This record gives sequence, structure tokens and C-alpha cells, in this order.
Amino acid sequence: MDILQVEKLKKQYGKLVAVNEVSFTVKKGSVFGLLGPNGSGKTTMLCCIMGILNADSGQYSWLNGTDETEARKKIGALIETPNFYPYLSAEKNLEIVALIKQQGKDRIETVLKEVGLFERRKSSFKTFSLGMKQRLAIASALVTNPEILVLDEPTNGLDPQGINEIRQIILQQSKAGKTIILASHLLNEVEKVCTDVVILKKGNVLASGTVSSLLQQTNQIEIAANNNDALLLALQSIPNVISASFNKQQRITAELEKGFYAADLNAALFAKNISISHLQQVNTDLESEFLKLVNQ
Amino acid sequence: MKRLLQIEWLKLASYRTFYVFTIAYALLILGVYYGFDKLITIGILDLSVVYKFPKVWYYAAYVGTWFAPVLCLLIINLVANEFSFKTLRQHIIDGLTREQVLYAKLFLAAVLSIAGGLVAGLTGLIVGLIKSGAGTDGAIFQNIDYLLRLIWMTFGLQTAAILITLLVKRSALSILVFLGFMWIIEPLIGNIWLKDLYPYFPLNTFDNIVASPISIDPPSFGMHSTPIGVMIAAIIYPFIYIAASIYIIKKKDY
Repeated sequence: MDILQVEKLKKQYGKLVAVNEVSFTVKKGSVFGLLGPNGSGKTTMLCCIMGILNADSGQYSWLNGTDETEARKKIGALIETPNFYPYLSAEKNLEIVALIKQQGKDRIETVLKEVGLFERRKSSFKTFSLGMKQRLAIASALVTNPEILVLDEPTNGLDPQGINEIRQIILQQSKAGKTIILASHLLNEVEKVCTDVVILKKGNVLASGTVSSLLQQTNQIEIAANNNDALLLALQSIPNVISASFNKQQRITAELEKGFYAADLNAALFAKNISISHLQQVNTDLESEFLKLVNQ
Repeated sequence: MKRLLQIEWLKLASYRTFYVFTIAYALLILGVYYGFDKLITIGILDLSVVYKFPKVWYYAAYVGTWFAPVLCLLIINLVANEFSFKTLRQHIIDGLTREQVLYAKLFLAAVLSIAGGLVAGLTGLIVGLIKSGAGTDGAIFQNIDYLLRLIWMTFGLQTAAILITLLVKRSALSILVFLGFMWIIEPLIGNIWLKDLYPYFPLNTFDNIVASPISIDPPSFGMHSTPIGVMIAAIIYPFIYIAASIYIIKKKDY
């Protein structure tokens, strides 16, 4: 089942196109990352699909066309900033959220414990630090145990320990089968938890797909044999090898054509009577891939 | 409707401003009505008439109209809070429709108005019984409809206050616009250029639902009736304000 379908969504502020005909689909159970530098349209995009901004054109549908408001009740969302009544306690603020979502308040205690705010449940929101406010917002997203989470920069304002805790919560939620839409500019955050990503720049989609497919767009391997010089010659004679050269480890890094995999290479080398001692896919990290895309 | 009011109550129950305004409203009505015969002196007129049943309902409602703006300031503050705390935005994210966010405030305005009518009614009843040495002038509940007029007046004025706040968003500025319009702009225009239309002005109309017992020219004091045209205008205006509010809340970005 599709959790969310977005089709040619567009939002313009005067001449500035904040989101330009963006389309994507979020499948059930995926952790969907929305990436992009500051001002790339991530939050605008999320505001449109959460009903707080009216898109100029295009469409979106939650849960295969469920009524939007009903769908939103089934989504736990944290968009941009934690929004609560400053004079109300953590507990009371969550009660309001539960009431809006037409759910009981039985999970309030659980989620407050989960984000480490149980001791401060009676304190008013205005006495909270930035990190605690963010934690309460995450508790609020989790309070009805929703099937879908929409989190916009969920680790904003948190210390490293807090960031790690939130990451653990996201992973737990994902393991429990929840669908998570996560916007972030912190790439290692996304890389560690996401299954699918869309990369935005100035409102346009630069790339989309699974994290591993994005990372494998440059098909690089590291390879070595007993006689590396002979290996290099052999590699250069294979047409599917785009380039090959020695790297710092005195092994050879080779870039292969798309669709030509390590196993194919192994077979080709075997045919040339070279047996290899080391063969490894080179993992480019999302950050370098991202920078490459964004700077294009 | 019940859920929307429950949500509003959760916000109000520990909000000090709410208690300050509602208690001030009740005390002002009680105090002013109780001291009415001493507060206002028009020549040598005997004002003990204001405590005579059944006219107590009229006079208590009239005093109530003076303080309806207090409840308007409260509703402005509550609506503006939703903007400044960004909770309007959060409510939509969490699963209310934009209209529901508005309806919640309109229901609250209705409850405040009814409560205001009850406060005026109780004030009239209690003070009337204490000071009714003046006796009665007919069936005790004869003029009770004035309490309904007060309720509608308070509600209508609040729908205007809500509309202004949706446009202005900030609490202090909305209050300034609301009071400035009601106390300065409308009276200026109405008294200088458009005398005939003044009773039908967007806010002033509500003041005339319970007509002032005081007339200056010639000086007199007593129960005055409201022209039918004013009544009709006062009934129609709130619907216009509500329709405009719905249009605005649906159209805007948050």
C-alpha cells in the first residue's frame, strides 16, 4: 500500500518557487528521507502535505485517498518547531494532542518516559530548554502510537546523546513496521536510518531512489591480486572498466560501467587467468554523493 | 462540538488570563448594576426604577452590554495565542480541519456569551431582590428577553473580534483595531457624516440591541425599544463575520 503519493506539487512565493512540481511515493514500512541544503524546500514540502500550506498546483494523497483530516490524525508529525502552550505542563499539552487525534491519554506516561521527560511532566512548557522542547515534540508525535511519522529535523537542538537517542527511537519505530518520512540536512543521520531518499535543491528533485542505489551510482570496486601490475593491465583491457589505478593501499580502484558488477569482473579476470585476492565494492558515503549532486 | 469545547477547556483551565477576564467581567456587572442608582445622576430623576421587576432584566442586560468588550478582549487574546504559540498550525497538523479550529473559538464565544447573559440575569435577580423596595411593575419575567439580546450582542461582537484577530493575528494590535474601530472610528464617522446610518454600523449595531435607557435630547431615562431595522442588522452581521472568518482561515497559509 502507498502511504503517500505526491504528484507535481508546486508552491510559489511570488517569484520564488519553493517547491517545483515535486513527485514521489512513500511505500508502507519505508523510512523515507527528504534531503537538501537549507532552503531547498523540504519544510515547505512537508507543510503542504500536512495541510498548513495551500499548494499552488499538484496533488497529494495519504493512504490511497483517505480523507486528509482523518489521515492526519493517524500521523505523528513534528514540523519545524515544537508548538505547545507555554503555560501548560508537558502532560496537559500532550492531552490536547491526544484529544485532537481522538485517542486516549493512556500512552502519555509511556512516551514521556521514552523521551526522558517523565520527571518533568508537571513542569510548564516554557520552563523547558530547547532540547527538552524538541523531545516533547517527539513525544507528541509518538503519543498516539501512529502508523506514520513525519519528522522535520527531529534532532534539532539536541546534544549528541540526544541525537543518538532519537535515532534509536526512529530505528525502533521503523522495526515496528512504522512508515517514517524524515527531512534533514544532517546526512549521516539520514544514511543511518533511511531506506529511500529524495534529494531536493531549490525546490527541484535532484535525485531519488533507495539509499543503496544512490550510493551505487558510481560503481567502484577495490581489487587486488598477487601481481597487481598484471591485474592493472588486464583491467585496462576489459571494455566494461572505465578506469583503473593504484590507490593509497597499493590496491587498485576501478570504476565499472553501470550494470557490470563485481561478479562479472571476477569472471572476466578469471578468463584472463588472473585470480584475485581481494575484491570489494567501494562504499561512497551519502555525504560525498550528496555534495556531488548538489554542486552540479 | 463536544470535543472542540473539551480541547478549549484544557487550554483555559490553567490559563490565568481567562480567570482574570471572566471574574473582572462578572464583578464589573455586579458592581456597576448594584451602584447604578448612585453612579449615574441625571438631574433629579429617581433611578431606583432600575431595580424594579421586571425591568431589572432590561437594566441588568444594559449594564452587561457595557462590559461585553471585556469578553471580546479575552477571545481576541485566545485567538491571537493560537497564532503566537503556533498552535493553530499544530492543531491542523495533528488532525483538526481549519474550519474546526475556527468553530472551536466560535463555540467558546457562544459559551462565554451565554455565561455572560446568566451573570447579568443572576445579578439582576439578586440585586433586584435586595433592592426591590420599589416593588414590581408587572409579571416578573416579562422583560427576560433582554438577557437573550445581551447574549446575542456579546456573541455578535465576539464574532467581529474573531474576524479582526484572524486578519491582524497579533493580540495587542487586534485589540487596538477592535477598540479603535468601536470607540473612535465608528462614532466619529457616525456622529459627523452618517448620522442616519450610525445605528447600523458593523459594531455599533450590537450596542443598540439593548437600547440605552438614557436620552440626552430631551433628557429622559427609561426603557427604550430597538428599531426593527437595527434588530435585523444585528442578527445578520454575525453570519457575515463568521462566513468571512471561514473564508480567511481556509485560504491562508500557516
